[in-house]
Amino acid sequence: MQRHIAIVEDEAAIRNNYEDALKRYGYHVSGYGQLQAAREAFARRLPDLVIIDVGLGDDVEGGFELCRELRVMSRGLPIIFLTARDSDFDVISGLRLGADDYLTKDISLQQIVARVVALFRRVEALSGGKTDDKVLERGDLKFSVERMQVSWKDQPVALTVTEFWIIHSLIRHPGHVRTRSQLMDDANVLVDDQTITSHIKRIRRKFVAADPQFDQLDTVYGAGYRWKPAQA
Amino acid sequence: MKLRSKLLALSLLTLLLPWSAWKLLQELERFLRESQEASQLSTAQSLSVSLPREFQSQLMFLPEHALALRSLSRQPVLDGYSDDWPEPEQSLMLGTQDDEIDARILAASSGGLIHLFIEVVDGTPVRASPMSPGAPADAVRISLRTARGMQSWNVMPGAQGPIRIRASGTGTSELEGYWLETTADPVQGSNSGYRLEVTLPVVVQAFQPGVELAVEIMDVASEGNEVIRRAGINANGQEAQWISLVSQWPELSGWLASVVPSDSRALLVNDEGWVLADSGGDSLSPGQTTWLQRLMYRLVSVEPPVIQDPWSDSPVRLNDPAVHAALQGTPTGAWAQELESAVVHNTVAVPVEIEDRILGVMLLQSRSDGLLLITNRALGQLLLTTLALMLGLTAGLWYFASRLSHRVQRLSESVSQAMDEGVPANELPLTGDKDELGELARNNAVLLRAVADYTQYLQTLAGKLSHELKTPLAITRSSLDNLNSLPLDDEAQRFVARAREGLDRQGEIVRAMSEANRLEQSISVAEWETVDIRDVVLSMAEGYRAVHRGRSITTSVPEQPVRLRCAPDLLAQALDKLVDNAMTLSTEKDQVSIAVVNQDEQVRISVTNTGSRLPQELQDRLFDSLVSVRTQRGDTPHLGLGLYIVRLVAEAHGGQVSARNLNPDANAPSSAQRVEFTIDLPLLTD
Repeated sequence: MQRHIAIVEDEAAIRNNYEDALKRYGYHVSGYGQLQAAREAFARRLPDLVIIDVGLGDDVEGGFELCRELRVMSRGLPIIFLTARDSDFDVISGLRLGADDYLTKDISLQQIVARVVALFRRVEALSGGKTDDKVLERGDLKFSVERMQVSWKDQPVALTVTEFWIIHSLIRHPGHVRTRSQLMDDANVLVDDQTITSHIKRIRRKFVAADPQFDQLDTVYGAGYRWKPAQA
Repeated sequence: MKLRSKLLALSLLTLLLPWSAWKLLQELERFLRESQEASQLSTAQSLSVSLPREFQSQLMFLPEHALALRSLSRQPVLDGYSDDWPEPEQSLMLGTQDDEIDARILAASSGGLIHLFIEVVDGTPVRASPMSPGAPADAVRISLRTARGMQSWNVMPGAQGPIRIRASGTGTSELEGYWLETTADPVQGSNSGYRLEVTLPVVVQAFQPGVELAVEIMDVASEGNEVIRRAGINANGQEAQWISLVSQWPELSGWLASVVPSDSRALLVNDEGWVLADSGGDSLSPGQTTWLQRLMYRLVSVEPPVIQDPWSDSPVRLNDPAVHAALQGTPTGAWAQELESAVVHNTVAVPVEIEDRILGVMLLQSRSDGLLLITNRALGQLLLTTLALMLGLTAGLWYFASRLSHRVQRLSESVSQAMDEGVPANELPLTGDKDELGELARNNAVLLRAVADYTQYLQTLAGKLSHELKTPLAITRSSLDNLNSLPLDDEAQRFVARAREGLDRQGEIVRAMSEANRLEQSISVAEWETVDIRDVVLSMAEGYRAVHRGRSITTSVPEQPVRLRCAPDLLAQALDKLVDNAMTLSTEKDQVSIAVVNQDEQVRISVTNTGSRLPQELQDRLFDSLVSVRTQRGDTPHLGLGLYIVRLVAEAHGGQVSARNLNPDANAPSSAQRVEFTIDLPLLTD
């Protein structure tokens, strides 16, 4: 079954490039340059995954608006934000609205494709298509690789794809320090150290929201981060 | 010269106004005085000329030798003391040619009785002795001649005490009196001799010209001698000379009172100064001056006023210079002020000439309550109004000047403060004012706003630029990605790889440009915790050593923990920038050292490297945005944002940054140079 991906991006060159790349990977892609056109199309039929630019034309936050509308229509629809902006504030706004990932435009096409693939895999796993789910356990942490679901002390922690991969990289060898560049490689992002730092901060916050006692995620100044091994 | 001083100097000029007003007042006062004096003089002159004929003839036939008869309301106490006599010092002097005897006589009348007071200076007292009656002794013989005849009394007492003497000759009435011996006493001013105070037992009409008196002083040089000295006048004496008793003329006084202006007092004195007539002082109002008027009088009067007591109610004799001058034929005038009431009076004296002889002096005195200017209502009002206006004007000028200066200063201070501290321009003072200063303030506000906008623009330029560049970068990047997936020959692959290399560098530049912007945002969401700053610095240094293999990086930290409330992520980022800076400023051989020093209430983190030197001219702008002092170009782009980020982090912690050369000698070889960058943070804990 051919997956249907919608790209809402006002910059035609970028939109076309993304369309071409995703089509090459065998997806059915529709691009929309305007908010209104996208809305009408989505009202007729929802795609399987949506990539939205935050600033659409003159409407600098039109993307957020669209995301909110889509979340109302479907809870499970994977949404990726793509933007030229990279401030923490934008990231947090986008994620609060229920986006599954938030990428800046300097990301490569391969990295976008990787996320699209990962998100589709998660959708598949959740719909129960696969049963041989590999689950990693680190103390109170349960980590389902296929479903891309994480829970702490049996409470689910909602993570974006990027955050999920960062955690995955950290818990593979608990106690070992992962440098920022290693984390970048593992999370399939090419960003600077500061962005990794804010990712880590957000992950920590999400776990603390689930459990105020959480302190497994350690900062090693000048080196990177590590997942504290569970106490024996 | 500052505006304020200029205005002050200008304002001082306005002080000339009161000064000139004062001068004008003086001039006016002088003019008024002169005119008043002139009118007084002419009044007095006309008075003296228009003296009625009967008074003129009385004056003409005034006896040459006259004794003023004081008018007493009651009899004096006969005790030998002149305390109860008015003006006891005004007397008729008698004496011998050789000055052996000095005597003076006062006369008064009360109820028709005549009283005499005789004081004799006599160094050789010889008293009548009851042992030898008829022997010569000191004596006073008093004779009185009236139309009814002559009476004499020979006073020759034995000792001090009351006396009663029957008249010799035709009369039978007894003279009553008191004989007082006096001794020389310089303290009391008395001389050795005696005083005689008597009442003549004769009732006379005092104003009859025919009443004459003769007094003979007989002095015996020593006991047993004959009388050798005589003074005075005896009816039987060789130098018979009678003294006319002259009293004031009530008719003349009445006439004077009727012709003299109501605010003046006129006196007529004879050629010896004895007062013949007095218009009376009742019509003169007592002084009613206020302290303000007195003050003004003292301020305005040209010369300090002469202090002079007022004339008594009934003066006996006037003996002042004005009278003497008038007797010489010169009309004079004088101004004086009374000490107690501060009343000012003007006295003029003109000679009274009858048939080319000066027989007396007409004195006219007018009193006023201080300043003539004030007495003269219209003029005074005008002057007071002018003065008040002038004072008001001066005060207004002063107020305006200081207010103007104050406003200018306030504006200037606010502008410079706004420049220094970045106070928003719309908080400038005076912008609501409608005058030129308000316009200046508004223009300043516009200027400041433009400067602030420009600064803001510079600060956000990098961020905005990077944001705008991201979209075209993304287009290029995604196009290259797409191109890469096509079947390309080796040559095309090479070009794609080069294009990607250039793209990556562009991407790095764009990221660096937006770093400061993002830092500002991450400061607002930074996580603050209390950590031992030593741990952070030591583990960071460990990381640097791992990254920069082969470089010498030393650390020094205090032995005690340095617990600091901070955002470790931000501090780590700042330290990254400082170490990166030190690395690029020095070569492989040079040393980089990181130190933490715990000072009072403050932590200093310093990064020092050898082998480079900061240029002098940029030192205070090093930590600004988009300022770079690097001369050589490196592989990585450098935008001058690194130290700006350090500054932002330090300021977020309430601290400050600085940079300096540790080697003062700029010409030393580069290996001897050391540069130190420091972050000072206030030591705050939870």
